[in-house]
Amino acid sequence: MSRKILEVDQLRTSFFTHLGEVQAIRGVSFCLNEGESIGIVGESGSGKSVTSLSIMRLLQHPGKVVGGEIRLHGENLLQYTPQQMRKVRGEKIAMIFQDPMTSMNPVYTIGNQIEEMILEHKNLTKQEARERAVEMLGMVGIPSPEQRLKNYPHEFSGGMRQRAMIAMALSCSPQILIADEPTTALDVTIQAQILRLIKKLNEEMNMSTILITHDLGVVADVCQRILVMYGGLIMEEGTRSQIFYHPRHPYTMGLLKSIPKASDQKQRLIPILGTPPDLLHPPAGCPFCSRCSFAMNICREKQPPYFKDADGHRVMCWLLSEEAPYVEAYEKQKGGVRA
Amino acid sequence: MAKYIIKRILYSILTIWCIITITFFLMKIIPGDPFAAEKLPNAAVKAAISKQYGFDQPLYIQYVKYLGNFVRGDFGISYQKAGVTVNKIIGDGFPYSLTIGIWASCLVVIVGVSMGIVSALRQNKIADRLIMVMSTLGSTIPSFVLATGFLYLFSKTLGIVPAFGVDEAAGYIGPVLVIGAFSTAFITRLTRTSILEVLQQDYIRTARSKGLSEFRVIVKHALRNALLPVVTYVGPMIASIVTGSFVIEKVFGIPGIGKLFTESIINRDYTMIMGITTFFAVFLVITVLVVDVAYVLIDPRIKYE
Repeated sequence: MSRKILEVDQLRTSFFTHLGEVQAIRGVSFCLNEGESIGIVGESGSGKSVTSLSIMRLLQHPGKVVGGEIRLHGENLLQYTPQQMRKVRGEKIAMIFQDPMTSMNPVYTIGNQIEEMILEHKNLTKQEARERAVEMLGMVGIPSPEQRLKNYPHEFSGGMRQRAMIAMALSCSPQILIADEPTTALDVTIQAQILRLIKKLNEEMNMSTILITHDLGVVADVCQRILVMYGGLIMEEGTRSQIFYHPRHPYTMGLLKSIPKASDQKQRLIPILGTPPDLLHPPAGCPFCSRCSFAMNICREKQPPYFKDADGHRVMCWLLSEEAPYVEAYEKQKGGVRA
Repeated sequence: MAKYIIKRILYSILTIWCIITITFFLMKIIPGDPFAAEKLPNAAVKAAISKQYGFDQPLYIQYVKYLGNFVRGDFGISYQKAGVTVNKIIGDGFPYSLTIGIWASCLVVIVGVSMGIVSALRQNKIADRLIMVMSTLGSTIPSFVLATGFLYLFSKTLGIVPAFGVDEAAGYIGPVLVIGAFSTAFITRLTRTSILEVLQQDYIRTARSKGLSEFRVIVKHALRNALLPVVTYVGPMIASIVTGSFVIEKVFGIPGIGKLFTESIINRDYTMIMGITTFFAVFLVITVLVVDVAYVLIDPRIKYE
């Protein structure tokens, strides 16, 4: 069985604004195995990106991790000194970001920015770093990489820039790649190419991947395990087939119902009504209860614990409690929304 | 690049021609002339002088003549200081303004940019607040108040610097500090804002995620981008500082070009006005040109078609 490489344990991250403490992440736990690819999905403000920035310890003021542990090979990253953390960034955990247009420094060449990262972590000469950069650019499918190395980011298209970002992120062969909405800013056709590339490299380099997205279609392609986040908490975690064919959480069900299907039948998309919770004053109970059509009294009063549905499938919802009443509409839906 | 520079030089010449033309006609529109009637014994004398200087000819002939002389680098003879060429007067006054201007520009760029950096990196801490208070004072206190205050403290009370003139090197300290104060304050704020803005950019986050040291992130990735707006401001600022200030030169007793310019306007010294304006224009156009070229070197996105 594969080894755990990264464990996030009861992570809590807050933003200390002048209005008060915004609790962006309120106790998130998950683990990542060697060579595994997991997806974190959720809507804007659910805490996906903050989770990834917390792992990299790249949160900017006023954001701060206020509790929990992030263990890489069993060592708590939160106790690392800034120097130790720099060794982790790029070398052990690399990251690619949402907008390839703005994620590269406009005044330096692509080559310069990739070589800089290699020189920072590997004991190579400039010439060797250049060769490595050429090799990486070629690997992500950029034609005539020797010439392209001398280009500036504005001379690349969006898709090529994201490829270059991936080349840069992987240039030091990291053990973990965190991709924060890597395809959101790209055309659909380019999206597919980039996802295929990430998947291919993930397998070739035996690297673990955390893919963060609001698009369930993206994780369906790439990820073996999926975490559904909402209101700073993981609502449901399961394998790809568990989440898509046997969802247990009303929020996950709602997400799946809001995806258009490529069938002949004309069908209305069903939106999830309401707005996400205010994390400045997080609700005492389940954060989704105000939008949930199955909400019970206890949902408003007490945050549900995780209920295990099957192996590796956990759900934060009172409906899975043994004491929960039988709800016909709910039981109907969980039979597989996408089936 | 060479093509771009040539193109820019041609545009610059056009700009200078526009400035000369506008100044020439504006100057003639102002009531009064250098040989106002009350200063002369009678109308015959006035007519003779007018004829000698060519004032009796139509304006367009005077204009064409002036342009012709200008192209040959001849700014003419001052009407007030009989027999002295404008070229010589500018040549005598400008070195003082230039010396002060260069030192003040160095002060502004070095002190302004470094205080801006410190301020941005220590945002909302004590150093930042102190610098912000200083820069607010620097940009709000009028230069003549600063100049008087400086003279009172360092010349009258402490006796470190001479009260008047620039015969000794210490005499330059006051004018340099006072002339540079406003721009230093301005550049400090500009640099601070610019850095704080750049530090929010995605590529800074990328640079940090690569495991680079904070020093490298700031110096390599943030500064080069943050200094673009500063460079834009610095060009015209140097031109304005180097061309002198009437008030400062008056207070510190410096025979600089700023004082000459103001006096020439009051006296309707046509050739002096034209000479100095044109000189300033050429100077400004050159600094702007240098800034534009520097821009291209700093930011590869800017194309010199």
